[in-house]
Amino acid sequence: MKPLARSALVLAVAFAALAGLLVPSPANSPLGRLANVDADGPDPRWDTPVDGAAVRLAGELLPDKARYLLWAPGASPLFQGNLKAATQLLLAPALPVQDPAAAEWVLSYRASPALPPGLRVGEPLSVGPGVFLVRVAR
Amino acid sequence: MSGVLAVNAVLLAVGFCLLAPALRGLRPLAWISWAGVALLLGAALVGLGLFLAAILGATTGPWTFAAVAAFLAIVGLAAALLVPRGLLAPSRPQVRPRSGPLAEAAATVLAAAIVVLALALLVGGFRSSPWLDDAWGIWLPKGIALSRVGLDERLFVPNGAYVHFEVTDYPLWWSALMGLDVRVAGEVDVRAMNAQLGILAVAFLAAVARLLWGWVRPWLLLASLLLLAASPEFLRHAQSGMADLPLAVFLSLSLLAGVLWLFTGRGFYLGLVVVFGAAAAAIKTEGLPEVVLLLALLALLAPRRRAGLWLAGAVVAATALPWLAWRAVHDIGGRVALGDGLDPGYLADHADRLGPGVEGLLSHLLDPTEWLLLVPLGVALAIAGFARGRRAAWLALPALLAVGFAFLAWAYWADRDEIDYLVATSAYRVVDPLVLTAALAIPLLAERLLSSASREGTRR
Repeated sequence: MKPLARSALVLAVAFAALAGLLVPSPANSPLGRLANVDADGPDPRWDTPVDGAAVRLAGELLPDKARYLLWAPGASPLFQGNLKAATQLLLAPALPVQDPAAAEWVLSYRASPALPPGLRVGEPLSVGPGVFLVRVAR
Repeated sequence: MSGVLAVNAVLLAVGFCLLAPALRGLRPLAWISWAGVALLLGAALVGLGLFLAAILGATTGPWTFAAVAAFLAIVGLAAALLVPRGLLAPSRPQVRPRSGPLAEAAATVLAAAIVVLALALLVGGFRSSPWLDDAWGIWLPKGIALSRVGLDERLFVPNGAYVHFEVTDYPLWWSALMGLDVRVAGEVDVRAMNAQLGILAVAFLAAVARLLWGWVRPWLLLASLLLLAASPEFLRHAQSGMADLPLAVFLSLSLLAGVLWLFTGRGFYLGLVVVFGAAAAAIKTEGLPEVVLLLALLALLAPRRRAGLWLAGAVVAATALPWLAWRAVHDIGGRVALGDGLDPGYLADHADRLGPGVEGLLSHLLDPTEWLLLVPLGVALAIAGFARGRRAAWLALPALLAVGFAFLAWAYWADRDEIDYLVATSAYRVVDPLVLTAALAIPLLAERLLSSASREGTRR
């Protein structure tokens, strides 16, 4: 097969592919995500609206290997799961604890009451609407 | 995202160093044709090295990565210097069918179409974040922890004090690689998962093309690969962040290398069986039983050279021992309790789980809108070949699929999670290894059929 004929065939396929991309397809389909919509951002595609920027900022403020408690009482299990993943992604290498008494820091996420009862804390650092990081006083 | 490219450049370089003993003396263009195999080889072994380092107490960050990569590269280069030339080389294919201008034109169009789809895989991977929440809810957080604090018992073993990860029995190859990608990228960006998956998927297509080149006439090989690359689920799964696709990639390549070992008897292919099989076993819990079971079945069906496959299966199983030992020390059981799965009484009591499991798996294997009928096509070719030749080897693919399917159905049967939920959330992806195995068998089966038909035509 001659090189010119081979090149023409390759070009034909390239044009066909381009034409295929220009045909609108559902935004959520793999091809739609490729051609028709903006790229996704660096945060996960949360199942529920998690304030990723707030958790990211908390991650910058939290010291490495600090022990922290995620405090979001009353949130649905799905929201709790997403928040847990968000903190494990964005607060590492800080270590999440289950017991408020073991925490050095608390990330309070739109919580009421804002903090676990009986905890003595320092000045809260706001990292997003209703989201703040607070150091536990010892 | 440049971090993902940097990590993969190192994986590629390591892979080429490891291939150096086999590729010595080839022209540069011939070396480049092995890039897909090299990248997957580098990824498999570096990932295994990181996994082992984590078990031994190291973090899986950039320094461990550099040490593991350097060690593997030195081993490869030393072998290239010390091992006699040709000893580890892949064999030259025996089949060289002549092709006319029409076949060449078809091969050109098919190759161009595959390149277009490969670009779509890459661009889509770098632009999208995983749609599967397990990807960013379990796999990546584990990887980030591994890269920052290592395999820390406070996070990886259930305890009352710290918030631990889910599914603590899962092996850590995929998490370690993901954590490394994100760490080298410098910020937590979940798109790194899909970027890595896109690269692995493209490397897979390139590796299959390279390994089967010369064994199957080009237009047939490329048509088969196009069928896989154009499958809607292939692109969708490559944008999911899921571990099932890399598991399927390595498991199917291990089996393909096993078939090439049976054809040629070259140790090169047996080495690939072990490395790719070990990687498959290090990705998900079902990887180890699947790869050992399917390699054992392939050995049973082989008319000769089966000892090599038994040995390879044993070595693959041995590579999983450090993780199994770590789990045993920390009292981490499997999600599917083996005792339940082997207890006839338990299985009889839960017989109502079998139907939904089988139905769910079959629906995904056979749905033409998911995998373009790859599995039925592979089975049809095998049956057609058996009808012509009456040799048991033709039935290897249906046998592998049947055993793999039976294993998955049994796992659903023995599991304790609610069956409808389990099937709905996992059946579409646990079938990936079976689908990719069928996809890789299609060109080989079709070539054998065409070759035998043309031989018969010539005799007449």
